[in-house]
Amino acid sequence: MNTRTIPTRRWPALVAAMLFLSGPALGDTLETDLQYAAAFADGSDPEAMVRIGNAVTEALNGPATERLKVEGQLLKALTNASTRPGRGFLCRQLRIIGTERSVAPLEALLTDPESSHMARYALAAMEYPAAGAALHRALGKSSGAVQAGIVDSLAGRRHRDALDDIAALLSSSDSRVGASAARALGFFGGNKAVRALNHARTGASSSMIQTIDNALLRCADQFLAANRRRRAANLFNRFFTGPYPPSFRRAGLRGIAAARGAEAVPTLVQAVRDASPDLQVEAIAILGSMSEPAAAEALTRLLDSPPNALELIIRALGSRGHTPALAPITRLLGHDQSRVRLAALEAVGSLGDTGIASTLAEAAATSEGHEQQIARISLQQLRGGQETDRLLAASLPDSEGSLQAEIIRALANRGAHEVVAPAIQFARADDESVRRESIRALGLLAGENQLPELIALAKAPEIESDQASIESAIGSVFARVPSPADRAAPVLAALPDSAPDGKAVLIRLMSKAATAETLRTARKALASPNETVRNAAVRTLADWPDPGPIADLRALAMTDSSKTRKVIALRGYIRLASATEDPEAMYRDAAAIAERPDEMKLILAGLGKSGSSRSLDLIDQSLENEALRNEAASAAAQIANRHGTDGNQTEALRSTLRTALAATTHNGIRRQVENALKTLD
Amino acid sequence: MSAPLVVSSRVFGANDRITLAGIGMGGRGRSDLRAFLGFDEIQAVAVCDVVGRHAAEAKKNVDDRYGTTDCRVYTDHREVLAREDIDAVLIATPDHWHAIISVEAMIRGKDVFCEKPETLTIAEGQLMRETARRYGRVFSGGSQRVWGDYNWYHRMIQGGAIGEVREAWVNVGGPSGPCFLPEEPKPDDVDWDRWLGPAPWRPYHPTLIRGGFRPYRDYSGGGMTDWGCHGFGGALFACGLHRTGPVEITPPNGSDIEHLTFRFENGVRFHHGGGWGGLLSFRGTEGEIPDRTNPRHRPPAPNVLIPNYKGRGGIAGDFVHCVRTRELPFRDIEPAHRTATLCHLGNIAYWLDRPIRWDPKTERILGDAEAARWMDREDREPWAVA
Repeated sequence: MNTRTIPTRRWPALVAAMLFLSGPALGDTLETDLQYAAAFADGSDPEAMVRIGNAVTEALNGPATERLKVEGQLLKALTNASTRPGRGFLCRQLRIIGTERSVAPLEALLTDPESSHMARYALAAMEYPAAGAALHRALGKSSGAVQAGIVDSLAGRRHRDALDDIAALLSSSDSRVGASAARALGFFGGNKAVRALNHARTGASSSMIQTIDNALLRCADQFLAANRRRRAANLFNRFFTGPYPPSFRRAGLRGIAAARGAEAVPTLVQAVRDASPDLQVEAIAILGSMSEPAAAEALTRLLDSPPNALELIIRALGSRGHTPALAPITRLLGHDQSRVRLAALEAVGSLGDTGIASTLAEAAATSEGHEQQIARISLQQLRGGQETDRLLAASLPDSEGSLQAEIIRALANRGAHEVVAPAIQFARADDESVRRESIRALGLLAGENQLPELIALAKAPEIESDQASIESAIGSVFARVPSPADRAAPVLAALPDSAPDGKAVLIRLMSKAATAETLRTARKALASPNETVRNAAVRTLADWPDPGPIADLRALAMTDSSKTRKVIALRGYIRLASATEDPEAMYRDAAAIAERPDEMKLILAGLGKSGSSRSLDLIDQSLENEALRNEAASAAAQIANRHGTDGNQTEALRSTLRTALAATTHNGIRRQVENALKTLD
Repeated sequence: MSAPLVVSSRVFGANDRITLAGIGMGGRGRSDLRAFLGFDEIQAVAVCDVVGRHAAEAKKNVDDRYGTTDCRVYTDHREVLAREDIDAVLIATPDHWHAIISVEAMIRGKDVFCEKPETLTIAEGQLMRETARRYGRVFSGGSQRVWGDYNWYHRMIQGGAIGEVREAWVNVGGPSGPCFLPEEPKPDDVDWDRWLGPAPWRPYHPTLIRGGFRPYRDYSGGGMTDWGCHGFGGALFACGLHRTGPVEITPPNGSDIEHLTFRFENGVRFHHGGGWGGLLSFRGTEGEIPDRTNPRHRPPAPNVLIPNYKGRGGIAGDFVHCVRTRELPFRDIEPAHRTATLCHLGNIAYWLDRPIRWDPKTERILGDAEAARWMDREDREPWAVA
């Protein structure tokens, strides 16, 4: 099933219908369909089951009388059901529509190993107390896995009336039943459940003990939820201090913290100082997650811990934003263990403000790799707002090299407009990293007012390799200037006194500042005696956002003296074809011009999206070409999906698809074609 | 390569490795496993699958990576979870097994990376969250797309590019339905009863073990939860709604409601299907993304810092980092469960073909007992979520 399709109404029926082949109607009425369902065998035609499913949904949402009528028919079929799949199917329908009337017939199936699960599937979901009572009655009539399942269902319903009977099953000789009973008591909770679980724990197997202990912890959580804190704390404390596996001791410690709040802090600190490594880690994590200030203060005092714990303590303090820990954590930025340094770098980013800015900038400038990345993020998120920005900007003139670059980067990332003016200046700096960050900053933050300076920079960059990034920065600024005329004005203004190379840059920018005037200018540049300018003109027309230059591009694709420009023009023509009133005609025209498979592939992709059976001749030809057959096959499948059943071209489409099926070498496209053929059939 | 230092304790020194087992080693599971094998901090020690050839292939991946032959193979996940030397498990079984294995693993002290959809029912997600919190385990869901693929949307929306977000369109597949596949001969290397596990009994069919289980309700929520956990997960995160849920879910009615619609307390609406941006489209008070005329175009997004993966190496690296540091991963159980819940609610509204109301605080369906029946499903005995 394609899992990324557009949803439609009636998904259930649609999904079901997708799963099987269509066949003759198996019954005209629900009654007939239900007779069929009662004897259903896996592999039989399921069409009747789909109809029943639809009828059940409709009855559920219809008048009560209709619901009861359908339920009655389902129950009658269930009584007569002769197969396991048939009974299972009917139970599923009763889960949806069943009322209290269904309880007794479903109860009758609970003790049958073959039917018990599906009876529970229906019964346990029902909101009626009678359903719980039925499950309770079946408890004493069952054994083994069936009994275990019934216990689980009673637990799911929190059917407390069964607590005593379930508690008695804790000592069952069947481990499955015992485990279910223990789980159930955990869900019930309360003193009675705890007593029964404690009693059963003595002499139990190790796997049963684990189940009991989990149930006891669930009971403790319920005491906590009921605000019986002392009762909860006692139970949790037993797990923390007793001879339990690490997982349960950790859970005990968590529970103590939840139940006792700030009073638990000394216990947690003790665990960090003295406990086994796993409890130490847990205690730190718990202290980090507690809302009480005492927990954060305790963590700060623990900053003298060994490196493994220290890293976690720093992270915990950073996550909870405990600013008093900033100074001691800042001192750890020079720690000899990188994991501690990294944690400290991250933490100061969330705890610090203006005062730490220059330290972080220095760290970003002198580190590399992951450490540098962390330092940069910390600098970006540093609090202090404009005060931090002003301080960083003020330090720019006195810094140099990588430090200067990092400050520019940080200011840009922080969205600080203070960086724009210096960045214009530093975009011509000698240091490559300073230039790179300055140009990037301008792309992020410069506005319409800076366009003349940016354009001047683009016309004459400090070094040629900056050209692309400057043009990209201008493109970003353009994206923030809504009016094409406002984008075009500084470009056109810079044109008259430009040398050919500079002129070429400006013309390249015109496709992003498309107006009637820039289009006229770009067209005019096609006749320039300078080849660089001519190249730029063709490129900008090929990138034009609307079909305005489509005729120019067609002419260039046919007649230009340069092969490269012909290809660029043709590609532009093909791209713009999709925005015209009759794309298919344009694609067909482009096909007559195209000389290379690469452009034909673009044309076929376009025909796939907007072609019709009118283009089957072109697709048939392409299917014969080894370089194009996959694209042609895909286009045929797409056309068939759109127009397969329209008009009188179905046979022609089928023929093309059959050829495509034989021609394609791509498995995914083969499936596309097969599906398209099925649609036609 | 020097011999790895494998530790079973829960604290990791600078050179210690996290021992990992993979459970459910079909195509997706092996792909996830290979991602984890790329981390020096990970030592895979065991693989488990009820299909022999899947387990054998995964063992080969592990052994080839380390140049050894000692990766152990299991068919029973309980034997894997009983190993005290395993720190973390990767769970990539079909959806109907996720909750049982995740919860058992966390009780036994393992951290869990579980493929999406993380749950088959809403109640399963509630139990998984409860267990993760009780035992303090790191749980990461497996949707790598929520941040990895959709972060442009998050930056655009949280950077204010479309003003206040009002609507989202999430174009993913529909709900799952009944399974009527015929019986086929079962290969010797398939433990079919264990593949079914808690799901209703049915005879073997090869499609189901080859990843073709998703259209069927007993094992999955269909495209709605499969790609839905990506797409709706992305929409929830972008709108800052990933720790809550909708208040009303209305299925299409063939007239004025074209698409199933989720309405949130703050008035935001998500539509299942439609839109113009492929998988995701958003409309805000000041604009739309992506551009309707050129949906593939991605203009530079505002440069806002949005907390996402920790550590290095995408969602797998985030999990590895959090296992070491005990921080919450990006796809912690809470957002993972909330996303899956939204998808399940959508399915319930489709299945019953009527609107439902939901309280995202108490996580209950309101005023509709029949809809509430779908909050959970009975597991086939003797399986149950612990």
